[in-house]
Amino acid sequence: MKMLIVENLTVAAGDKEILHEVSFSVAEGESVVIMGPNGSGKSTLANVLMGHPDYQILSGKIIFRDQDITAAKPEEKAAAGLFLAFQEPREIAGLELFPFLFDAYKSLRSARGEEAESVFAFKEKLDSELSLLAVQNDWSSRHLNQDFSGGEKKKAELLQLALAAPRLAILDEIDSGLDVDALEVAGQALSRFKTEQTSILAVTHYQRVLKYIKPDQVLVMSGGRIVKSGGAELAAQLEKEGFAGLE
Amino acid sequence: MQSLINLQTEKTIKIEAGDDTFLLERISKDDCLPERDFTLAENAHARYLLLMEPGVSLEKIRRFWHLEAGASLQTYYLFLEAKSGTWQLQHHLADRAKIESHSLFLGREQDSLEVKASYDFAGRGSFGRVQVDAWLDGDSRLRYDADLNVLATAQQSDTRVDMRLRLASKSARGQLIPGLNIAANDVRAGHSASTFQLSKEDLFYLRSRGLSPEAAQKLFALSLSRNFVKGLGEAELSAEILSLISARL
Amino acid sequence: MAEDLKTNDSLWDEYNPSEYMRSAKSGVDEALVRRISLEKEEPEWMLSRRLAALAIFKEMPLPTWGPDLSRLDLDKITYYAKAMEGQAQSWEDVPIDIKNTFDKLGIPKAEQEVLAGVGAQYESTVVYHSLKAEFKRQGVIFEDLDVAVKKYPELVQPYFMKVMPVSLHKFAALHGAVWSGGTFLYIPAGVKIKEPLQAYFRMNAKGMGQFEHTLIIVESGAQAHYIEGCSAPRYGVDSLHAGGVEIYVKEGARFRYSSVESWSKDAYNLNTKRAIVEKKAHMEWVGGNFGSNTTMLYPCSILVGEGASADHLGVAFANQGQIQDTGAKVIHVAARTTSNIVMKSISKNGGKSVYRGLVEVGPGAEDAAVSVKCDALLLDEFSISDTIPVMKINNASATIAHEASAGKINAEDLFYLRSRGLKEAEAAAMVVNGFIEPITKELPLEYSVEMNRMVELEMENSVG
Repeated sequence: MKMLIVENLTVAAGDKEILHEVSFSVAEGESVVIMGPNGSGKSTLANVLMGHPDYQILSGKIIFRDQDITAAKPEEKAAAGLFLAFQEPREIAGLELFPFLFDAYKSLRSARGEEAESVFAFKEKLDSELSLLAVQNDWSSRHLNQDFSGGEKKKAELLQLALAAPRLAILDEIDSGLDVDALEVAGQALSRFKTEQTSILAVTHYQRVLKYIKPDQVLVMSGGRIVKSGGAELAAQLEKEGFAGLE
Repeated sequence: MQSLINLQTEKTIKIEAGDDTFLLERISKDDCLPERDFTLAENAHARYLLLMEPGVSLEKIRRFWHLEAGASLQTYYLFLEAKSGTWQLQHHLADRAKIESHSLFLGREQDSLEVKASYDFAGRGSFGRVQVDAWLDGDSRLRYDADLNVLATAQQSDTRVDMRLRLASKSARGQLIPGLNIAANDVRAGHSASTFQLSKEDLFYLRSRGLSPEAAQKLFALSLSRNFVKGLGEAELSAEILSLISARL
Repeated sequence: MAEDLKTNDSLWDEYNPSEYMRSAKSGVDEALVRRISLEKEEPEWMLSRRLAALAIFKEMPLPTWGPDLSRLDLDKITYYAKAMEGQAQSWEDVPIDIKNTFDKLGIPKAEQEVLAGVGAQYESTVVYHSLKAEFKRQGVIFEDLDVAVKKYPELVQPYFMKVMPVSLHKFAALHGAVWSGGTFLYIPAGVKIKEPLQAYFRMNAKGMGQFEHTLIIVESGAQAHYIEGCSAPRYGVDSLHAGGVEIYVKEGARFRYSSVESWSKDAYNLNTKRAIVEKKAHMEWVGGNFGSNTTMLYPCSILVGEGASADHLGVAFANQGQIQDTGAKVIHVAARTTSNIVMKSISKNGGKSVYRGLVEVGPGAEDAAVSVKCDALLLDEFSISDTIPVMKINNASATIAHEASAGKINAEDLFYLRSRGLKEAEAAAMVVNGFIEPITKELPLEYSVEMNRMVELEMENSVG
C-alpha cells in the first residue's frame, strides 16, 4: 500500500481558492521533496494535510495507508501516523514542556492501542533523545517553545518527531533558520528516523536539507499547483536555474 | 523550627520572629470567620494558604495582613469554584517588609466572585510580587480589583502586580482592574493584566501532536495549577491541591 | 510658531478686554439657551435638541468619581458672547485686536503651502475660516459648525451628538444646551488629504466657558489629519472648557485627531471626545495635555465594524496644583478589532497625573487584540501618579495585554548628560523629552517642537 495518496485536492482559504487539483503520492520508504517560490502553496499543502482549521477542502481526497483521512481531526491524523514539523513552532507560555511531551506521548500510544510506558521509562527515552539532539541547556523547567532560540525550536520539533514515532514526517522548511551545526544535528535526526517503513515529505525553499535527505521524488509547486515533477536531478537543475520559467 | 497551624476561630493572629510558620485556612460552606487580622512582628516570616472547598458561598469576608519592619510573607489564595462571594484582602507593609502573593481562581458553571485586594506599601525598601491567575469556564464570572498603593513613605520600594485571565468558554466573563497608585518617586512599580489562551494556531499545533482539544485545555489548566503550588513548599498540601483541581477538570 | 514662544509668561497672560463681554451673562437657563439659538438663527430641530439637553443637565448630578469638581461654580461662568458680526473669509477681514492677540502668540498667517485651512475661534464664535480652492472642488467641507447647521443640515442633523449623546454625563448635557462654534469637517468618500487641517481657538475673557463642538465625518476610503491646539492665559476665576468632539470614521477610512492642549492654570478642562469606527477603518488619537487646574479627558473609540482599529497616544504633564486625569477608552464591539494605547505621564512639584482607562471587549469581538502601555515618571517625592485601568473581558478569544510602570528619571541617564556639560534642569528636560518621544514623533514638526518646548517650560521652575 502507498503511504500517502493525494487526489485532486482543491483547497480554499475563505473565499479564495489556493490549491488547485493537487495530486501526488508517497510510497513507503520514500523521501519526497516539495519545492517552489514563495507563495506557491507548498507550506499550505503541508498544513492542509495535517488538518489546519483555516483551510477548507473543496474537493479531492487524502488517503493515508488505505485510510481516507480527508476530514479527520488533527489528533486523529497524528494517531494514524502523521507528524507535521511546523515552520514556526508555536510558543505557548504557561504550558510546561515535559508534562506536555508526556501527555502527547501517552495520548498517541493509547490511540494506537499500544501500552504506554511509565513516566520514568519515558524520562529515560526523553533524556536519550535530548542528548542525541545535542541539547545543551536544561529544558526541564521550560514552557513549550518559550524563550527558545530558533535552533532550539527546530530541535524541539525533532524531539517531538522522535517521541511520536510517526510513519510519515511532513517537514515544513525544517532547514530554515538553522546554522551549520544545527543543520547537521537535524540531518542526523532525520537519518535516524528514515527507514524502509517510514517516509518523509519535506517542503523546502533553500534545499539545504537535501544534503541529508536523498529525494526519490521532487515536486515543484507554483501558484497552488504542482507544475513539475521528477527525480533527484530536478532538484539539481532548480538549484542552478531557479524557479523562473515555471508557469 | 517549622510549624503548621490549622486556623480555626482565632480572630487575630500574631507571628513572632524566629519560627517558620505555615498557616492553613480551610474554607468550607459553613465554616468561615468573616474577619481575621494577621500581624507579622518585626523580622517574622510566615506562609499562608487559603484553601476553599468547591461550591462555597460567602459574602463580605475580610482578611487583613499587617507586616512590621523586615517581616516577610508568602500567601497562596486558592478560590476553587466559589459559587459566589465578595472578598477583601488587605495588606499593609512597613519598612523592608516583603510579600509574595499568588492567587488562583478556577470558575465553572454559575460561579461568581468579586475580590478587592489592596497592597499598601508604607515602608521604605518594601517589596511585593503579586501574581493572580484566573481560569473561567461555563458562565462563571470574576471581578478582581488589585490596588497597588505605594505611599510617599515607601521610597526605594519594588512592587509588581501581574494578572492573567483565561476565558475557557464563550459565556465566561472577567473584569480586571489592576490599580497602581504611586506617591513616591524613587521606586520600581509596575503592573500587567493580560489574557492568555490557546489561539486557533496553538490548538492546531497541540492537536497535531495527538492531544484532543479537551486534553489540551486540561493540560494547560494543570500547568497553571502546578505553577501555583511551585513555591508552596508543602508536598502533601501541594499534592492535595493538584488532585483536587484535576478532579474538577 | 514654536520660535515665538517665550519663557516669560507675560505673553501668555495678556488680558484683552474686548467689548463683547457686555453681551454675555452668567449662569445657564432656558432664556439663555433660547437666546443662543435665536442669535445664531438656528433651525427648530437644533433648538429643541438644546432644550432637551438643558433638561437633562438640570437633573444630572456631577460625576462622583475622578477629581474634585466642587469648586467649579457653574453659575458664575459666562456662557455666550459674540466676538464679531460675521465671519472673515480671509486674513485681511479679521478684526485688529483679535489679530494683535494672534500675532503676539505667533500664530502663523501664512497657511498656503503646509496647512490646508485655518479656523480660529475667539471666544464662542468662529471668526475666521478659509478653505483652499481644491478642497472646495473635491467636496471637502471645512466650516464653522454654526454655519454648517444651517448650510448642510442633511449632513449635520443625522450625526450631531449621536456618538456623544447628551445623556453621557452632566457636561455633555451642558454642552448640548449651550454649545457654540466649533468645526464641521466633512471628507467625501475616497478623498485623501495629505496636509494636516488645523483649528485654533482660545479662551480669553475672564471666566469664559468654552463649549465648541467639533463634528467630523470621514466617508469610506477617505483619509485626513486634523489638529486642534489651544492655549488660554491665566485668571483668578475658574474657567470651564466643556467641548465636544465627535468623529465618524466610515468603512476603510483613516483619520487622525491630534491635539496639544495647554490651558491656563485655573481652567477646568472637561472635554468629551468620541469616535465611532467602522469596518476596516482606522482612528488615531494623538494628544498632549499640559497646564489647566483640572483636566478630565478620555478619548473614546468605539470599534463597531469588523477589523476596525484605533491607536491612542498621549502625554500628560501635571505640575504643581494640577490634576491631569486622562486616559483612553476603547470599546470592541466587532470581531477582529484591534487597539493600541500608549500613554506617558509626568508629575512634578506635587502634581497628580491619573490614567483612567477602559478596555471593553464585547461578546461579539472574536479574535480582538488590545495592547496598553502606560508609563509614569515622577520627578520628585511630592508628585503622584495613579494608573487605573479597567478591563472588561467578555470574549474568550481576545488577546489583551496591559502593562504599566512608574518610577523616576534614571540617575545614570542624568549623570551621563550632566557629565557632557548639561545643567541638571536641562538634562532632566532632555530625559523627559526622550521619555515622550514615541508620542511626539507622531506629531507634525511644529507641534512636536511645541510639545518639547512646553516640557522644558514645565521643567524650569519659572512656570507653576
